[in-house]
Amino acid sequence: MDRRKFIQTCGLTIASTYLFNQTTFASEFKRNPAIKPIVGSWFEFMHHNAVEGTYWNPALKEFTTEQWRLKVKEISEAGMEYLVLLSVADSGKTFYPSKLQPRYDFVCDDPLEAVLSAADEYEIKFFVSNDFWDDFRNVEKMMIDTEIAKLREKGMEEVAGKYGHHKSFYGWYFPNETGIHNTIDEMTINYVNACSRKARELIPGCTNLIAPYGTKTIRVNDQYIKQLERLDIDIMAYQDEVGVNKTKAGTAARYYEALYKAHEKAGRARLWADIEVFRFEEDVYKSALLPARFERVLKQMEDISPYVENILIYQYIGMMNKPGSEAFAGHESSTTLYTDYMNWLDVQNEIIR
Amino acid sequence: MKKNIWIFFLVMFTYTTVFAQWKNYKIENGQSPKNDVRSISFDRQGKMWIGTWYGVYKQKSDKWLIQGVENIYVNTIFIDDTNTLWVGIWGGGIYKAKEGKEWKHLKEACPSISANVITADRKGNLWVGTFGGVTHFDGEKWIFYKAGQVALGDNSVQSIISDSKNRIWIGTNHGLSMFDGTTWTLYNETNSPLPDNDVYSLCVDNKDNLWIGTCNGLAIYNGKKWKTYKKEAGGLPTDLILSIVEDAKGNIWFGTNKGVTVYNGKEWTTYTVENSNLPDNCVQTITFHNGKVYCGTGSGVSVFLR
Repeated sequence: MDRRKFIQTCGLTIASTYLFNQTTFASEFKRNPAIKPIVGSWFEFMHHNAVEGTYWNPALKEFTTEQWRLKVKEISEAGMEYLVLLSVADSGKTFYPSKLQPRYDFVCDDPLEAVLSAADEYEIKFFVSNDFWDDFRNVEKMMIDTEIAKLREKGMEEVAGKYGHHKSFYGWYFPNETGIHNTIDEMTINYVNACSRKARELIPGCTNLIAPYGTKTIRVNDQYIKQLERLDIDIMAYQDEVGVNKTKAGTAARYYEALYKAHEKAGRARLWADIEVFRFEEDVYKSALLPARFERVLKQMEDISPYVENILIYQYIGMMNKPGSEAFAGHESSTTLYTDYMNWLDVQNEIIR
Repeated sequence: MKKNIWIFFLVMFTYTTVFAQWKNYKIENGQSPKNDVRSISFDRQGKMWIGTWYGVYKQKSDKWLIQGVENIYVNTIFIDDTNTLWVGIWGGGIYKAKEGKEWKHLKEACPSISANVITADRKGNLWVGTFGGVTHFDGEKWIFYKAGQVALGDNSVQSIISDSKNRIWIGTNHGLSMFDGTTWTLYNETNSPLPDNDVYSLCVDNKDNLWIGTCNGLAIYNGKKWKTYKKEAGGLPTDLILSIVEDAKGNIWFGTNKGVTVYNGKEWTTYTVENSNLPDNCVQTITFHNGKVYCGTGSGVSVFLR
């Protein structure tokens, strides 16, 4: 072998070894076009349950405007295009300067402006919350109390007035959780339809979303289809409830399959999924949330992909962080979920890094 | 044309008689929560009872008769030696019914509103896994065990089994707990080779090996050594194991969301919708009774024919 060929051979060997090392982890996954990627996530300025938010609430409080921008950028770079803001207020305080309630004393004066500006920049579509102006734990009261409804509408007017100009203001999210047992009840229809009316009055052409739970108890029948027809909502992202241990991973497909048929028949709300990418550190609802293992999340995604238009997650904040992120909020294992998901996404997108 | 029709029927007949591996039962045609079979049990007369996502059904000849209340979400049923039916309901707690009649709600048996699993230990005493801990009937009273007070992984109990020493093994979302009557021991990813803390299914074979089905792989524990299996090694169609049972020949059957797999100690064989007449790949419960393997799927009950 002459010197030139020898150098060429060595170079190729080194290059292929390097590439192999770079792609070894990614190649643990096999490309499966049938699995839909995560296209969006819930978003929050503070987790509403202090124990659950143990690992990221303290960091969010200290986030600067620039860190909020970086966080939105990071999410966008993970291939996500939708963000669903859980709340604009919580326990009598707001996450933006408001005339209705005092503002949370966070480092960033106006986190809502910070993230919507960043979302404009990174072409994210935001579903902005219209609620948690009162005690969100009393869901029924939140839905039917007329005084709370008035406050909610004032809040929507204020939010639309201050932030409605953002191109990222895609629509509204009505966060009082719609628990479905058997079918959609009248209280839910009245609440959602009233919110939708006000939402469109303020932001014409907005797209609105709810995320019902109790998915596995829904009786998909003619009555359910009729209720769907009456419900004035654009997108229903049903919770898969794997993180709260109510459903075993990989077994939710039948519920979404039945819902797919019902939504097709009703021809109104689009069917999305809200998959839970968390687990509890100890007991359900009584301990901190931690990121789930990606192997479990992948099973959740694979299970329901055939039946839903889009997969959103609950949630990027706290559960996923890019390694080395300057806007880090969450348990250290959140980088593992991020890295594993991104490696899988690279394989799906046939990207070799 | 007439000849073609005869050939078609001959092919169909040959397929269904020679190649069909499963005899399938449905409560009603089409997709229905009535066909969503979560649990299978047999009474002393050998009649099959099934717990579905709509209610409890008893097989009578080729018909299925609803038992008790309709439109409930049955997670588990168990028929004890006295022919008493025990029913665990999502959002409904525990009911018992002697000979399937006179349903009685047992508040003390279920500290949560939902029960996931009911079984009996080797002495015939009941164990109930709920969404809020474990309860045990010692013959006189119900005893309640809760995570934090004992080494129970957490209070979301997914599976329970007893071994030949009457030790109780409990699968939770935070590992596998063992209670020997005195002491509780917790096995998890941190202190053992358990492949995942979400323990969905358990089985004790005739050699007293414990088979542990998790959300992310299979483990076998013989009391001293652990062995783990993953899909990548070949054999299993997925790492998600929803149910496990041993048949009379010592074969181990695994219900997964990608079909049912049988392991004879050497070879693994998987039956799916794609390669057999199994109606649904989601096999969430398996029972062995009187020489036959019964699978509860999302689309009815399937009995293995050979």
